[in-house]
Formats: sequence, structure tokens, C-alpha cells
Amino acid sequence: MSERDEVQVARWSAIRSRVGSCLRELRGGYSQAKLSGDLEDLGYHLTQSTISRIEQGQVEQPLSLERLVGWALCCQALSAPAFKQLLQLVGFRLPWSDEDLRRFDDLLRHYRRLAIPDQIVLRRKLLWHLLGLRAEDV
Amino acid sequence: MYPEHVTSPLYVGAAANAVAGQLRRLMADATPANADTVAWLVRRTLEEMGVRCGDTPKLQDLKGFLIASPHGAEMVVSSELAPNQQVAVYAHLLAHLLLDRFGGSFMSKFEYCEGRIPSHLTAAERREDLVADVVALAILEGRLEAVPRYVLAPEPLPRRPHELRLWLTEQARAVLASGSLPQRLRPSRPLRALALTVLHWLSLALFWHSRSYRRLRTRPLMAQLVHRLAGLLGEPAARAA
Repeated sequence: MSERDEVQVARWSAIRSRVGSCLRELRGGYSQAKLSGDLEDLGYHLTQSTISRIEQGQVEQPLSLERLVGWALCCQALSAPAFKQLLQLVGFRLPWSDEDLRRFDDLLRHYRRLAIPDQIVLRRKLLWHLLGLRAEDV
Repeated sequence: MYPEHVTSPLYVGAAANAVAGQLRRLMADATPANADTVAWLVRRTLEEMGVRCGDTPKLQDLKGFLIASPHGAEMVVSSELAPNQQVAVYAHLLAHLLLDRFGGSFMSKFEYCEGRIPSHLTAAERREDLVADVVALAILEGRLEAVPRYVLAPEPLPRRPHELRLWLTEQARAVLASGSLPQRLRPSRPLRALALTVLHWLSLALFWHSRSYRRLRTRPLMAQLVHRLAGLLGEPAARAA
């Protein structure tokens, strides 16, 4: 396990419960199992039990921006106030306006009616744009 | 690395001209190119203009889609489509990129398979699809003169009412300063420029809202007439791609 600074450990310990609460709020009515499956389609490795521990504030490692964005994308909650609060809490920032994030969410909601493989392809592409990556950077 | 301005209206117009030019040259060749070559050439042209092109075998309801943001524009098509179908999808997505002067930082467009078009499309989206059909056909036929000038180039007319009033006031001042009509045999340059702008704008507005005008505008004779009229008003001839 890599060494972490004491300050980082202390800060994460202080905020991880609130981070977990925000993520629980973002998940809303989606089941943990479904979220885990959707995240796996995007290339994440988060089991249902890990999701449960994150929401309870029991995870020792700080969460990355990529995981937070992936979580919000799968829950169609990029424009939710809880996501904005979450990013401020952990000190991350996305280069998108509130209006753009709302358009991302609308797009994801409309897209839910299409076949699952199409959704997965689109979500992967959207994720790179959200994170500010070009496909060839990946 | 793709330029971040790739989604600016001027750049997209240049991309459309480049693709249409390639297709026109291929059609003019004595030896017809095979469909794979055409598809490859269209992809290379788009990539050289900064639009990333990819394909995937995983799409079922979509023939392809486009995502454009400050991080670049990307077109993904189904690899299950035949090469000529892929070219048609590229042309249609490029048409949407031309027509959608997105004010925000992000846009996306989808090309649905037959029978999979969702019911939640708004009237504006359906109308844009009809207009994109015409523009895409013009690209595929290598005849971009069949679409209004302001589809391919940014229109100079401001959108906000108070900016439009200011613009009209400036144009009127320029016309009046250039001398009154009865004293000249030919309208002044500012007046001709204003008339040209108004005509192009009217053409664009009709193109969007009138199916009859779209059909008329794409006829070769109409395109020649518009070109001749624009020339009389002093517009320089456009260079062929």
C-alpha cells in the first residue's frame, strides 16, 4: 500500500462520511448491484459491497475524480446539487457549466430507452469528454 | 492532437467542403472507386479536418452518433454497416454539425436505425433532421452550392435583438454615407453588401422552414441563379474544394 501523507489521511477521514452521504444521495433509487454493473461496463472495478462501504464512509482510500464522475454519470446525476457539493467537498472541479451538465443528464436519460450495448458505447465516449480526455489519450 | 476549434462554424464548413470536394472528384474519375476506398477517403478527410472517426460492432439501435465538445469532435459508426452506408452516416452527422450552432459547450447527435427512432424527438429535432437530410445529400453529391451560404459559413447577423438593431443602424449609416441612390448608376458597395446579407439570411430562413424551398434550392438551375445574383451584388466566387 502506498504511503499517504498524514494530512491527506486526516482530511479524508474527516470528510469520507459526508462523501458517502452525497454518493448515496446521487444513487437515489438505483440499486447498488445495478450501479456496480453499469460502472463495470465503463471499466471501473467497484463491487456492490465496495459501493456499500463507500456510502457508509468506511473506505480508507480517497476516491478519485474519475470514480466520482463515473458514479454520477451512471446515476444521471451530473447536474444534481449533491454532485456539485461533492466536488467542492473533495476539492475537484469539472470544466463544464451547470447547463452543460444538465444537458449531459438529459442526454443520458433519453438514451436509456435504447439498447444496452448502445448505451454502454455512448457512456464510455461521454465519460472521456466529461473528464476532458481525448480518445487517443486513453 | 485535435484542435479545439474544430467545432467552430467556419471549421465545420471547411470540413464539409473538403468531404464534398473529395466525393465530387471521386465521382468525376473515369474509373469508379470501390465503396471501401470511398469510405476510407471520407474518414481520412474528416480526421485531417480534426473530426475523430471510429467504428464499433456493438451498436444495435444506432447507425452512428456524434459527440462534439471543446475536447474535440468524434463520430462513431456501426461497423455492421456497408461502406456506402457508413459514408451516408458520416455525411448526415457532418450536416448536423453544420446546422447545430451549439451555444453551449457540448452537442451530440444520433443516427437511428430504421424503426428505432424514439418517440421523444421534438418538432424542432424532426425538422432539423429533414434539413440535415438535404444538406447530407448535397455533401454526398459534391454539390454544396445547393445549400444556402450561411449553412456553410457563419452568418454575420447578430442574434440578440439589441445587437441586431445596432448592426442595422451601422449598415444604414454606411449606406447613407456612401451617397444617395439617384446620384449613382450602380448601388453603393455598402448597400450591395447589405442586400447580399439579407438575401443570404432569407435563403437560410426559408431553407429551414419551407420544404418547397429546400426542394427548389437544390435544383442545379436554382443554384446557378443564386450564384449569378450573388455575383451581381459583388460577392466573390467561392473556391471549389
